Amino acid sequence: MTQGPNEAQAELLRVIEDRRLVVCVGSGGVGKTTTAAAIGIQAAIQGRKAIVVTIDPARRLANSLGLEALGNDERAIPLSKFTECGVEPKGTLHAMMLDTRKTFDEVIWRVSPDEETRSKVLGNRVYRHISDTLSASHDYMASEKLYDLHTSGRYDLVVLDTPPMKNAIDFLEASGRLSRFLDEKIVGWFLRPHEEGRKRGLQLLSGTGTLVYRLLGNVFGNQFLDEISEFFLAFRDLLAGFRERADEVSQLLRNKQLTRFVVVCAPQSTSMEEARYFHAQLMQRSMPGGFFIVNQVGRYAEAEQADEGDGRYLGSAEREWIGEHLANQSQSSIPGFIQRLETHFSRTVARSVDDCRAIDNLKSFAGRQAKVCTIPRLVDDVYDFDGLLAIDGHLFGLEKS
Amino acid sequence: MDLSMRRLYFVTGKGGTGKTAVCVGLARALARRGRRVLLLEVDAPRPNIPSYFGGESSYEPRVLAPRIEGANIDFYSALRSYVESVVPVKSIVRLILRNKVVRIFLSATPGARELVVLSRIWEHSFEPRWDHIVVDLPASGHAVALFRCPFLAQQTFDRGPLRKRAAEISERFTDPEVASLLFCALPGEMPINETLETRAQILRMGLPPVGGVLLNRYPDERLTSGDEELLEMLHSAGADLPSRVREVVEAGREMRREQGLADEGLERLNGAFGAENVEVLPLLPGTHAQVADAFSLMLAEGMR
Repeated sequence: MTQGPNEAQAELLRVIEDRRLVVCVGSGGVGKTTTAAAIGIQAAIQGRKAIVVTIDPARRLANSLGLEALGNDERAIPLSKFTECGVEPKGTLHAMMLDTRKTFDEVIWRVSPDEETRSKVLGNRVYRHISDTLSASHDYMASEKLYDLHTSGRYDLVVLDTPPMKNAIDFLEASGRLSRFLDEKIVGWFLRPHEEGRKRGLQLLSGTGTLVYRLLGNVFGNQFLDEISEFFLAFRDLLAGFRERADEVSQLLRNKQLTRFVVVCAPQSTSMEEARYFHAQLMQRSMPGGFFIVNQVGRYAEAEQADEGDGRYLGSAEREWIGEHLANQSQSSIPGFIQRLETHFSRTVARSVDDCRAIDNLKSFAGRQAKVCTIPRLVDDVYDFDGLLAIDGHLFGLEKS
Repeated sequence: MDLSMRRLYFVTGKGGTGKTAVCVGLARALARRGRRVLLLEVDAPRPNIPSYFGGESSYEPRVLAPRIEGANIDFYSALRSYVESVVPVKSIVRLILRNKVVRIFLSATPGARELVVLSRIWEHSFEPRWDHIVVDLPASGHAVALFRCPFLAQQTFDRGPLRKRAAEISERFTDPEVASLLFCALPGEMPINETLETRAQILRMGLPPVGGVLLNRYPDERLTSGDEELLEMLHSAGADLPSRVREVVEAGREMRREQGLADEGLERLNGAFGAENVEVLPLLPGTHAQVADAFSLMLAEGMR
């Protein structure tokens, strides 16, 4: 099927051999989750202790890996999944889906210095809402989990799937935002001067600060501000730990020895534009990017028309061959059949040619340093292990056994 | 489906299902029928709608085409609108918005963003200068989070203007005479699963009323069932097939398979939404703007 890995494929193989973190980013509907799973599988085959983490609220990864469901716990992909497909992995594969609420609770457990702080935080209504379903806390918790997995020693490669484009950027910025948010000076602003016995245990601000705070109270409601202040107060003791981790995640994401970003996209113009945008965002943040995986690429770009000058794909000999081969069928229907097939085929070819052009444009945009892998378009959704292995064949240029 | 019956159309769907093209198509269809339309994007870091019409995106509605205006509701501008609507004094509004602590506090407070953005859509929904508002929502999971915000806010805040606004938003967006949520779907099995899951989540919340679904990129080049039989006979020749014939036959069989999947998907959508609430949009060649134009003709057809 393939003639050994090309340059991009060889590079991807090196990435899964020596990096600690691969982050898959891209717009929605381009097979990002499937690609992440396929990368994780290959890493396990090559001998890594790999884990695939999805933070996409959609539960697709489980299906792809043949698991009933994925939860916040790390689940091992059974060895039999590999061996049934005739593969002997040298390493191991786990998978999980990020559950924001549970991860947040775990973090509170871990960083709380004492039982009192812990129950104060876990009982705060603002905390309960924040930790539940809202997208912003999703991002914070993704970095938390990433840090946790990266430092646990249980895995030597984390493959991270991210939500569609817009939120992936939130995700990249989340750790920085969290640091800023939790800046002690800022939180101090909300808490100072803290005096026991005042309203709700804290008196907020003085001077101009009091004015702004009072105005905020008018706009957002005093209740809201009180709850937020309580939340900060309860969090005060946890700040140092949070900040430290946020900084470390931010450094990990920028570390070229440890991390590689992979932009997953499809040849359609909107997806390509977003891939470029994302590439630029990575460059701007000094994050190690420059790798693209283009999914759903048409396979018929090379097809040539029959050399008979009539613009048809099948030559007269080939049409005759079909007629003879279908000799038992009603012959009157055959020319129409051939015509419909050719019409469809010419559209398919045109789409494939467009795909190739889009990929060439991407290459010239991203420059010679950038690498581009392609995966041909598949009619059926991939949600079995065999299908994921076939994708590995395209990603890594390996013969599928 | 007659998509001219509601004042407010929210459109969501999994990423890559063609939400924006459908929104633009719907806005153009309504404009064809003489309606005045506002086309909104929600806190888009890179607004897509301008690429269909040319020009830049802005927070204040701007004319995109005859009878169509567009805007991107970004968080900070929406925040300004919200603060202005509550605080009448301009200098105080400035004081609040310029405060560094306030900005960081708000950008990092989960939920504040969503509520303030919804509040702007809510304000627009009362303005008589438009007959319809079409809202290009974020992808399904985040759209659900967006609509959950008014509920969360009402639970979190016992009083205060934010709670009041959340209640007003809920009331307006729950009204089936006013608002309708449309889904964009693609024919694959997983995209259909996700559409049905999101629909169930929205129905549980009761906000906003579920209108219908648009099944996009439906393959409409039909081979007959007789063709399929002939294809299989050719395919069974295996290695004997001349190479070019094999390519054409392979592509033909793929198309049959695709049609089969699409038909299954359509059937499942019909079952869940009711066939009268399902609109099929074909797989079309051309640029995204051309595709949206073609959609507008099809959607206008269904409007009284």
